[in-house]
Amino acid sequence: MNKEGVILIAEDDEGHFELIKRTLQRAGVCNEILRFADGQETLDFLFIKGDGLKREPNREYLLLLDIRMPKIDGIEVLEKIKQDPNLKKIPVVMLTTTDDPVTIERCHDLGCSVYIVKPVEYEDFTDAVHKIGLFLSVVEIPQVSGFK
Amino acid sequence: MLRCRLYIAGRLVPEGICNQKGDGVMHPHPVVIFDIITFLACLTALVFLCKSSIHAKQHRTQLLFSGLLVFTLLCYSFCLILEWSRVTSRLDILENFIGVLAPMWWAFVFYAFLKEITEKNLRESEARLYELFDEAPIGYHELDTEGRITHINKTELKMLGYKYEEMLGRPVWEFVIEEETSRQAVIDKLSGAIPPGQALERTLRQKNGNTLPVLCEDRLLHDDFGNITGIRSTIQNISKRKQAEYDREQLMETLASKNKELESILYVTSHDLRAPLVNIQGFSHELSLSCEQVRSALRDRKKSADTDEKLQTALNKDIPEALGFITNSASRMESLLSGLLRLSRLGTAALNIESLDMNTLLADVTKSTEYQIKQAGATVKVEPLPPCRGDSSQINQVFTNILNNALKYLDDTRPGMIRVYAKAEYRRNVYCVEDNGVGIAPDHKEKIFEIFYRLEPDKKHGEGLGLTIVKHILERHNGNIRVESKPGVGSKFFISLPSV
Repeated sequence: MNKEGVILIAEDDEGHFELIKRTLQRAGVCNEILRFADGQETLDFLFIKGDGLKREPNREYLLLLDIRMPKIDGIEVLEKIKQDPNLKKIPVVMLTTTDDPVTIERCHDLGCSVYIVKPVEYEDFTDAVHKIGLFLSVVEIPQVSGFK
Repeated sequence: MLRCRLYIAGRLVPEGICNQKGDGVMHPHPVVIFDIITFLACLTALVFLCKSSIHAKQHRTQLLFSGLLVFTLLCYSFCLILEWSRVTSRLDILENFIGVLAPMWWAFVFYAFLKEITEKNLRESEARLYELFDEAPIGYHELDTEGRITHINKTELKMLGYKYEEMLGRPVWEFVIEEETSRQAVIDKLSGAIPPGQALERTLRQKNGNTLPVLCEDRLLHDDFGNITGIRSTIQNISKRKQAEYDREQLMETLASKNKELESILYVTSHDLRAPLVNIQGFSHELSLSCEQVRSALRDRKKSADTDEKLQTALNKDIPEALGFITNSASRMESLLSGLLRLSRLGTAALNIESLDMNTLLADVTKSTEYQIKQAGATVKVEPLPPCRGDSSQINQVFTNILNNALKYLDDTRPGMIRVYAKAEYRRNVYCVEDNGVGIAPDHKEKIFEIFYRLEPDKKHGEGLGLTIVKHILERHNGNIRVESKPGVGSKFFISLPSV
């Protein structure tokens, strides 16, 4: 992922977002980071709807997605992204407190790239996010074109 | 006459015994006794014949036999009268004729006697069988080759509420709900295309229009040449079993839904309780990092010029921020746990079900939420409401929560209007709380009742428990809640409760 790529974090818990952001930055990731507080905001951004920020065509994006969020949950967001022929190229990292095997399997079936359970232990948590940072530095992300 | 009598008596009588005295008077003679016995035997034979012709269908041979017997008896009586009255003693031809027939009649009397005994037994066993057939705890019917009913027992008639004549001769499928399927199956069975049905479940149509689930067992009837001549079926009323099955299914459904609800509570709770823990752990560590920074800044105070700035950032920004997250997370956990406790207590609290004056109850609710109503600048209009049955404090809680919810999600762009009204349904009252608030998107309609679900956690206060509690209370009251809503127009919450 080059430095132009944008990391999107869909996370309703502000504390979690802060921790993820700080850990990523400490891991040397200096890409632009955007936060969405719920599923609706995330979809509005990606599908270029509503009044908020909008996705720019021909840019690299990577989405860190929480599952339990108000309005629209992460699974639904993932489903909608993967159904879209254009947006489905975006790598989606599920980063959530839910370790329910059924949910994990469902996310994989829907096409998430990685599924990470947020560990309660701080070291494990930073370790997990750190690994995401490493993942970001090696992964090749396709550019997402705009809509017709 | 003598020869004839010898035949009649069935044994040889020595000629010497037959004395006919010269005075011409008829003396008692053993042969006369034989005459009388023979006469009586013939008469008995006739009675037997007549009796059997009453029970059995009249056969032509039997008629012929009876006629012949009557004729013999008449001839015989004629002979006896003539002889005893000594009108003539020359009736040889007639005597010979009777003499030939007499042993045959004896044989016949014997035969008829045996037959009567056998027939009596047969009739008795037939009656027993018929009683069994009629009074059996299961229904029986027989069909002819066209599928028409030729026999049907009382039990089946009672099951369906018809009279014998009303069902006789009608095709059996006319009484089956799955008429076309049944017709095809009967025709196929009669033609031998499919084997007779075993443990077939069918629904029969009763005369009063109700339906009756039954279990059918078929058996094919054959003639001597092996051709199918009909079907005999037994019908078992399985409505109790079906009811039990239905009840079991209902129970399983309730159990499954309860189980799912429990799972979802567990899932949500484990997620929601874990989330603040991540923060507490994470920011505690951030805090220690900040402390480390402060320490190193103080250590390097003299060497570096930006020490003060680092200290400022750590003390004024990082540390308070981390502490803020930690305290918030801790209080979030506290509120989640107390919410869970409230919900669990709700399930165990005793219900005091009574008739509730809903007008008074709603007046209490609006009075206790007066402050919130005023704050929201809303108008609450309560129309006359019919009474219902419920626990007064819990139903009060239901309407308080719904009203609070409506006030919380009013649309800022227009004055809030909340209207409460009711509609009576069969043994229930449906109360509606209608608002002109922001409304709920179709996708969220079910989620709003989920535990700890909040539509706008950043903007509105709350634990995400209000509607979950409402749903739980109503379930315990044998009531329910549903919502109709249009985003941007408003929502209608329908609360159904048992009427008085």
